[in-house]
Amino acid sequence: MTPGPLVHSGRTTRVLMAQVLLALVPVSAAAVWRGGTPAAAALGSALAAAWIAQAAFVRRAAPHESALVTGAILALTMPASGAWWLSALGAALAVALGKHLGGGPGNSLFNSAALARALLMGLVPGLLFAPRWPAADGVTAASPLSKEVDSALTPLADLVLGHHAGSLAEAAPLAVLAGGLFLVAVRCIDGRVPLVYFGAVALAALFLPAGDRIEGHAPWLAHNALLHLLSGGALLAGFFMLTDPVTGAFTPRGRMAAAAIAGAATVLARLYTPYPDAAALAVLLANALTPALDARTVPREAVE
Amino acid sequence: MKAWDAVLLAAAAGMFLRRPAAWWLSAAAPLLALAARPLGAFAEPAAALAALALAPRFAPAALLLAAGHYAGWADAARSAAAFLAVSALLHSMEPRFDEVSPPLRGAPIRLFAAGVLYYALLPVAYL
Repeated sequence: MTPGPLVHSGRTTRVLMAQVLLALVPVSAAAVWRGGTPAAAALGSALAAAWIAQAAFVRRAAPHESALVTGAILALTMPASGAWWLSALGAALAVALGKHLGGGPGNSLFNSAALARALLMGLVPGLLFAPRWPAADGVTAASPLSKEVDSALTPLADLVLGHHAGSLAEAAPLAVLAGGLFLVAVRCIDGRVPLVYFGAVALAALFLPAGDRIEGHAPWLAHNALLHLLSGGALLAGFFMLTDPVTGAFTPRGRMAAAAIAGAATVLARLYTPYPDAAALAVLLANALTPALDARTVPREAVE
Repeated sequence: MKAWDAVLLAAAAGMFLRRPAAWWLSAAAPLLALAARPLGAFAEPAAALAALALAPRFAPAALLLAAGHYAGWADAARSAAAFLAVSALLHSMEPRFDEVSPPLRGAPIRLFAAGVLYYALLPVAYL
């Protein structure tokens, strides 16, 4: 951080939000293609609920792109073939509670989509923690991250192509990757953040020993970096949640430290707790650490 | 009260108290509560008195911490460490609390953050 004069990049919040929405188009399209009407209803209802919630809080004519981004990301974390009202409820909670009550636009303490996802995990755990998830193609099966007795190792090809039970975003990991790389290419996000997050997930997955919860139940969850990267909310969290400029750290080193902590927390929860996935919770933890990380990583010359 | 609930409630209460220099001594409350258990009917009053003595100006937090049910010494020590970590985390968020916009400001936004952290850190309770 250097003192002024500062030059405006020319990119407004509206442009940045439009780029994020554009980056979400491939995974949304893939999810609808795979999931059909239920997936389209989940996405559509989430976008509508986010828009309505935003309009309820912002009386004057204001850009609603950020609410749409929140609604879309939230919908993509919901179970494929899940009820449309679950996505709508989540999106409304995200905008109302996460964005407006939780600090206000531009000052939110926590990532809105991650917060809503965590709230839904508490409110309707049966719908988000079901041992057997409905897949995008309607087949009910155990999630690749499931630790239950009837869980099974998902082949790598199925993981890559999204041929397994999980969230809407998990139906097309390559589309999430394409959207994320687009954001990096147009410099909408700091590419080091997802890189550090994915690196931390991979390293933790490779080197952490198998815990009691997976030993004998789902041993393939240990030492399997690709499984942890391609399933659950890891890709979405790395590209679309941890890179949130409002709730993320101000300094680059702070952002990367938060990403590393979030990556480790994601895998710790998957290996040693009953949670099948906790990427959203890891994002919230990283958000909470933001002020402390900023305070420790701000350059000395900026303080003096 | 579950150990994790006691830890989060105590940390949340600590946000509204003026911190004495030795506030961190309150973290010993779970260990004292466990040590007092053999006293039977006197266990809870004894644990409460001991918690009060740890840091009188931080007593509400210490009392909440002492009210938790701890499975054993390891659980109590883990809860003490979690209390210190969560308290420090919430304290580090103070600058952010001052920046937020209405309608939630002051005490409500602090309680909101504590509630979010309760869920975000819940997996820690299973480690």
